[in-house]
Amino acid sequence: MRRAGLVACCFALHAAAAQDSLRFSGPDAETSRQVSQIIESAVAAGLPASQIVAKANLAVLVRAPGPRIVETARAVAGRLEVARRSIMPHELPNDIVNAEEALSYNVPTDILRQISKASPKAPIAVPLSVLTQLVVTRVPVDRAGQIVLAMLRRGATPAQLQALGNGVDADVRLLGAAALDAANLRYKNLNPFLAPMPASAANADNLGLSSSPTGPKKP
Amino acid sequence: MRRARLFSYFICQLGSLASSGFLGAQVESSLEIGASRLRQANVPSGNSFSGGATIDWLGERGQLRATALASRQTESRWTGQAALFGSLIGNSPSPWWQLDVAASNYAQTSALPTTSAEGAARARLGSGLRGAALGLGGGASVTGGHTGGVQRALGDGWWMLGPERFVASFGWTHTSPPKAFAPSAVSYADAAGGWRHEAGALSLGISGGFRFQSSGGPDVDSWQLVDGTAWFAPHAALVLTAGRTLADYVRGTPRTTWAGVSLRLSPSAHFSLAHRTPDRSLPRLAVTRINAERVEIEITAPNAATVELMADFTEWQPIKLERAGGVWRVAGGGGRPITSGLHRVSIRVDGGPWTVPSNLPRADASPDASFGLVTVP
Repeated sequence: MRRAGLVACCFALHAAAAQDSLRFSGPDAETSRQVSQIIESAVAAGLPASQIVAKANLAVLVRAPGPRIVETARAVAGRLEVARRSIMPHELPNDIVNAEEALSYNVPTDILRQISKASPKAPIAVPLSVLTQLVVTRVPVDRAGQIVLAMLRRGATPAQLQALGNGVDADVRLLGAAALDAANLRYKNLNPFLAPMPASAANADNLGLSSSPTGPKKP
Repeated sequence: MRRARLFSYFICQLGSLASSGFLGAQVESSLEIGASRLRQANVPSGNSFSGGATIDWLGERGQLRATALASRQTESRWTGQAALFGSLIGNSPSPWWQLDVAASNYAQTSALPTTSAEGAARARLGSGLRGAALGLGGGASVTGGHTGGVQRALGDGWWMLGPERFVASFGWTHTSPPKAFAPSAVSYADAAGGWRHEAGALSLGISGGFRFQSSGGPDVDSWQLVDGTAWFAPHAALVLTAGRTLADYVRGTPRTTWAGVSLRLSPSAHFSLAHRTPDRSLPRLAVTRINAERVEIEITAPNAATVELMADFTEWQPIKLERAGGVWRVAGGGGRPITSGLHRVSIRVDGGPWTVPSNLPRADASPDASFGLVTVP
């Protein structure tokens, strides 16, 4: 009896903690009420409402006015639904959250679908996150999608994907050049560490098909 | 029937290459103009001016290089060479086969041009970091009215260690060159090795090999090549090369010794010597996953007395970090429970303003507030 009571207590505590994480306190009562309604609707729809809370809290942090906070919450809820549809059959809340982040930076749903298909079994939060980082760094969205997809197909690990996303912005500032060039360079430098590429043209002409070098080095 | 199935298989591979890799491929190109001092077989030493162009197409599973070079030694002596190299590998992540093709044309004044085409198929083992391949190849070479066949057996290995790349190869070749190149059929074995260092704005390479010729030439001969490229500007590099190469009976190029310098221009930006080095005194953030739940966050801020972190995973509450050696970490060690994916962070050093870590992309939450976007693996 005592053990059953303890178990029931633990469940209640866990449920309370989960409820707490979805509680939102805005700058005024009306904003809190409206955002809470949006959160409840998202929960009822089976969406990861924690993302609505997170972005609404961020809006509070930067002192956005009440109507703007509500608008943000509503937009996030809408994107979560689109995100969930776009990455099916992936259903993990974290995957849906990261797909919403990508949509918030205008990544087309097509690219999300392709990423979902390219990694049918593994979670896709990390590639979606890297995609968003590349887009924020102003890599053209199509090229950003191509790079992430290529890395997924070539078996890139989450750490390799992370290295691309977390580093390309610094490269842009260092190169002082287009983000596209920086992303292409980073991806190219990862080439040897991903699933094999063909022997480089330098290998092919130096040591493969011919045993003495050819090409521009030879007058 | 079997042949038809094999043909269909390779057509499907080409189709999947086109659909998945072609549109996402990277294209790089460069122009090169230079001068060299050279000596070729039966030609006195002299100065030469050259111009060339290279285009590389790099796809997920395929690679193509087209290159052309023209060289002027005297008013009446020109040479020109164009070559096309292509490679195709099997499906990732562990392709076991590779196909290579090469076509070239070499011409010089007062001599017949030579056109060649070859293909090779290799079985490969390993990864892009280290591996080996074995294969067979063949083709033909045409000079004037003479067509000679070529057969090859090939083997090569590669190993990458950071910015260093080591390659080694061996091969056997049998070919029937025109009488102008050799009096009879030629067979030889080659053994070669090479090293390349590529880091930032600099690329250095040394390669060389030995040829053991069983017929039609000296018993043992060697070749050497050294090159260095320094990108002094994002789109321009200085290239120094020197070498001694052997006659290529298949492509019709003569034995050559040269030393040269050239200017390479590229529309793609490269890291260059002109770029400022990153300011290592600015705070940087790194994340490493310890286990399924916990992540270690490290901030490098060498001159800081205090460092604080605020992020979505701290519910936007500032937390103080503690110094651990040369970095700052969350107090208590053991990392924090953080989900994989995108997170927003901000840091504050010595009680100053909240800023974005210098190595992360910046996202504006409002005109007055920016956050760094970090991917947690």
